[in-house]
Amino acid sequence: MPQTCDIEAIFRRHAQTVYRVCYSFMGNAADAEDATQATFMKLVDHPRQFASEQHEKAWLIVCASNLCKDTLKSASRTRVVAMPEQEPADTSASEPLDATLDAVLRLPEKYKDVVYLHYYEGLKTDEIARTLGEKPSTVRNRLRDARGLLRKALGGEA
Amino acid sequence: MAMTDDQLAQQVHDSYEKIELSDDAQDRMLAALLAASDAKQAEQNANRGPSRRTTKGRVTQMPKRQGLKRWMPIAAVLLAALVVVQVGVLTVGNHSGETRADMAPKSEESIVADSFEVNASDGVAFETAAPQEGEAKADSAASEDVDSSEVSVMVGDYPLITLSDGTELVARPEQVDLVETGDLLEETTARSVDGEQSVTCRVYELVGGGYAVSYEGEEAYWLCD
Repeated sequence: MPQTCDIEAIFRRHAQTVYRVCYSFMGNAADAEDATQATFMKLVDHPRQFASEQHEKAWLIVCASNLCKDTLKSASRTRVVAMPEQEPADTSASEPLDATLDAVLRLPEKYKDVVYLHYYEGLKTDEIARTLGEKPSTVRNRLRDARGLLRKALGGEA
Repeated sequence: MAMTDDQLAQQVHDSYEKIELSDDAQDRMLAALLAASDAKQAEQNANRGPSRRTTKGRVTQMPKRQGLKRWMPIAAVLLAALVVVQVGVLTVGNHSGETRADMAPKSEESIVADSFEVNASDGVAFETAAPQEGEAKADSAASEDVDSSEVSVMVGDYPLITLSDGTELVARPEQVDLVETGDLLEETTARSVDGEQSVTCRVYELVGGGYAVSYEGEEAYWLCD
């Protein structure tokens, strides 16, 4: 199948997934859209074959997650150099969100991919560890910590 | 009141559901991706020259050169087989006055054996590309009228390719011109007859009917039927 058809099919299958991952990191639509496009652009630049749609999805999630982390790290460095006195950007300021999503977006970066994979994709600890190339114990600890932070942020609302 | 784990999980799951990429944004992104993809293909074709286009004017997806070294031995075996065919035919044609039993079979055996030794040392050659003992020893009485099918048998078995619809193809040591190569049919695996060796390959439909195959890391196209 021609490459153009491939990228279109892959985009249609996984655009929402990649966008959710990117949004959870970037915290606003504009940056999430940029990151989403950049993720798929990696496939255009370096086409690859996937064993299955699950493999395809896992690759895109990890790729999007890494790309967002790099972008945020780079932005953070720029901010430190150019405007050292500026406070970190408030990710929730640009768009109205519900309390839970706000709490998810405010989680530290290192928890975001495991939280997404566990709570939205429904993956178990071992599956998340395999996907991210982390130790299962690391994933378990991050999930436990993230759960604690979410509980704290959400209080007794439930 | 404390939130249970299940309530928290449901709440977080629902919050992700609220993140949605709009149709407009999707269309915009897809258009940009397709434009980038087309530009990349056009650039690749410009670098490779006009012969990379099919007669239908569509661009075929060319294999990357990555891993070229890895698959060179297989290509070498196929090329050696092609040389054997040509040398075999020439030998028969040019030396009809000499003892036939001494001529064609010897040259075929030595050439294929030489090429196979090199590939065997690399450890990745198709073993079946070497002629079988019985096949290599052509009957001297029949060698004067060697036709293509006999030559094909003499040089041994070739890689087998199974398409997704179950069609079985056998690659032949006959190169196909690029202009005859049509649409990419599918990417699959070529394997040796004994199934011990395999290599990723792309199968194309020829414009005039039939199939061609190109192995990963190699730019040549080989006839298969």
